[in-house]
Amino acid sequence: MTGIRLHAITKSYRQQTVLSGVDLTVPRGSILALLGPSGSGKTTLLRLIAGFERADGGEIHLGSSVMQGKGRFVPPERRNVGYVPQEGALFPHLTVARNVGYGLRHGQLRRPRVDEVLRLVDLTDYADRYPHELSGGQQQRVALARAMAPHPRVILLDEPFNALDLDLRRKMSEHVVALLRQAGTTTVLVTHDPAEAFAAADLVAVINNGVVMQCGTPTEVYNTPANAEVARLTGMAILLDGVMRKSKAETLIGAIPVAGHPEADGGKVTVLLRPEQIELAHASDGREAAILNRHFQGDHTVLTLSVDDLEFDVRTDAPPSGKTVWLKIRGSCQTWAR
Amino acid sequence: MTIAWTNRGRPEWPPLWLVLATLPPLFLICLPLVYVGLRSWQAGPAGIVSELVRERTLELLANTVILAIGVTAGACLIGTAMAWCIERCDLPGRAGWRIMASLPLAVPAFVASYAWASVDSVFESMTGAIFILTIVVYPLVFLPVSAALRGMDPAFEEVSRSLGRGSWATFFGAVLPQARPALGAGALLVLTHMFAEFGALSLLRVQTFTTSIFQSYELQFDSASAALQSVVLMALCLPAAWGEMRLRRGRRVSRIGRGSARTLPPVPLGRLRLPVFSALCLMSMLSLGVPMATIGYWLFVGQSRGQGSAEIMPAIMGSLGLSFPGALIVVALALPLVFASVRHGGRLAHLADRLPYVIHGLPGLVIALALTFLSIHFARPVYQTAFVLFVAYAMLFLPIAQSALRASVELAQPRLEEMARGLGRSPLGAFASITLPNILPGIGAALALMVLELMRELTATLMLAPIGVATLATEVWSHANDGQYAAAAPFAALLLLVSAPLVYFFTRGNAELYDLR
Repeated sequence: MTGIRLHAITKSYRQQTVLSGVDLTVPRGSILALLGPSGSGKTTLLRLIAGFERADGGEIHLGSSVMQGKGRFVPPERRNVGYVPQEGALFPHLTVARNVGYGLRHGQLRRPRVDEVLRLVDLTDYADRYPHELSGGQQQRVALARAMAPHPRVILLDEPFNALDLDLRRKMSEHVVALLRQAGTTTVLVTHDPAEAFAAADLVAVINNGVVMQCGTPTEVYNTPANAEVARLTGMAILLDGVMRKSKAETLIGAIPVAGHPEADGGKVTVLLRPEQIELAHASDGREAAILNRHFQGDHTVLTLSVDDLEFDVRTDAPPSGKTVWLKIRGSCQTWAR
Repeated sequence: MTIAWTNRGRPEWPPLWLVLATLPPLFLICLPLVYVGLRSWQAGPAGIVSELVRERTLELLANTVILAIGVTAGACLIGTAMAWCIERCDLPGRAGWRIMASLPLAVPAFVASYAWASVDSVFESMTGAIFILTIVVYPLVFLPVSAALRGMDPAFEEVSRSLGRGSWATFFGAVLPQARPALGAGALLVLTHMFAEFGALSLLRVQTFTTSIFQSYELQFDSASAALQSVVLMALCLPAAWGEMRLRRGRRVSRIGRGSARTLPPVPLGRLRLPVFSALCLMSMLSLGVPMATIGYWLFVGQSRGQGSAEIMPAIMGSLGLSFPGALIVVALALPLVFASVRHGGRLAHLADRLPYVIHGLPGLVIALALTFLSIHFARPVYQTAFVLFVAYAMLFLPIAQSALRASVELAQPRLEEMARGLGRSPLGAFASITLPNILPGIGAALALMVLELMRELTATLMLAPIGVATLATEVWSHANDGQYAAAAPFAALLLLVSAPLVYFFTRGNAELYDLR
């Protein structure tokens, strides 16, 4: 069963292309994180799903019904989609309870449902407050409650915790994801923070320059990114030039075993290493690297190393003294033909 | 995302209903241009030239320009000096002075002129007119300049002092240049007002274009020479009004995001403290004390006392009966213009937003003349009805309503409406339940401001009010014009009472609302 299906979605503003052919499927009841940098078109995609704007081309399906495509466009009020924007956008002239009850029809049991969702987000005592009397985190929770109240078939979260400080953001994110899982609502969470995406989502779609470059489980996109761009967007990435030799990639810092199906011998490749694959070793077995910089961070230290003209950061619990270290590569690497 | 976001907030073209709603006000405010074009075309090039080079025309031109420049220079000097003393010096009671210095705006120019003219006929001259108008309109310079001084980053002044410049050199080298846009906008505003001023000048017997146009109009509705004089007057007004709008807009943008700057310790006045204090007291005496005392005097003394008392109730009813519907109409016309400019972009929205600011710089007299002419020739049924007057009000006051509405429309973000639609409301339902409640206070304030402004309006009302309808303003003018000073007093006193609440708007610090007629 699909929750959301997007097919060949395009959108541009004036001459600027924002989305150029997006295909994406979100299974019903699952949580998808839309991960991408600023300007990648992820917010636009969310607004198209909500129906605030029309795509120039392509189709949008929610469940089994067509929202846009084949000459049809369903206006936002008939889509039953919950939307939580970045700044919450609470109605300033309504109390918390009336904000939350706004999407409920008069016939529905309004008050009990309002109380129920306010209990879920732990704001029962704030029902009669106005938005300006709440903290940023509380406002976001009200915005979520308001979106959840009418039992939407899909909830869209647009970097909902961006305005909060890091600690609160992680906590909120965890809390919200737990709530949505419990409710079994299909969810799309827009974020530019890979850690948030991995922690929250069943699926991560990496989007850049208006296309979805890869969609998969968090481990898939992190461990086997489809290209160098995805690798960079999903975490720290060390990218090296290499040449294939006996199923290993020969690089500046040694020959590294290749995961999956290696290129033929002699093929030129780009090699991806994650910093945690690099271990500091003894002089006898490893490649020598100069230490350019040390950043002591308390529980660990980040070393900036250089091998010839390549520079990269590694983390270590026990930083060596001296000006050089020796490197050993753990595990295998991902490669792409160059 | 930034690029996408700005585009998203401003789709290129407003929706059809909004376009349709912006067209009537745009059409209306173009009428004076139509009139001037028509009449010039009828007169032909030869007719225009012969009218323009007449000695009379040149004399009027000289008078108009001398008066306008004299008042503008005086107002700039007084307004800037007072702004600096009040904002930057260790004067006792600065907050109180700030209000006192803006209060003269609550005295309509023709009321002040009536008061002074009744003191001594020596004021019925060009010099007298420049003096009286200067002390009445200087707040138009004072308010923007003092706002600029208040918002100025004190670092410039400190740096200038630390580089060895004295306080005078610092004022002219570092402070004044920053206040220049504000000063320029204020000066151009005074200039347009002086080109347009009619009531005060007619009471002070000064011959300028406006008073001359009025005389021709009284003799003959369709006077060709009045029409051509309006062409010259428009040629004077429009550039000044256009420049003023440009400067004012620039200022509005540049003030955004300044945050709360540190405040600079005030400059100690030392021995000058008493003279400066006395000068400020004298200014208040002249601009507020004299008109109020004179009106008070005429309330109790004078031959013509009580002659107009039977007209007081009708005049009050007349003022209310014109200003309330007038305010509703102006605000209703302004609302779509503001929505189009705040929520959308595109040429039409831009034009709809700016054009009223230029047109309202036109004299009420020219607008009234244009509407009389056009209604006689093309819309006979509305001729001499209140409808024509409301059209004139719209031309004169649309920008003030626009400025009053803009802030609240900006606050009612479109995304709130989107949220409401996402939660199941129709476009209309979302507007009614979300946007409307949020802009209602703004609409209320705009209506209040408009009612007060319209009650003070003299020129257009005098010329266009339906026959038999008088207002407080027209009664003051006609009694004073006939030398019946005591008969005019009760109407003038009521008008001052009506004007007093306007102070609330001056002191709220919205630079765009200072523009009073």
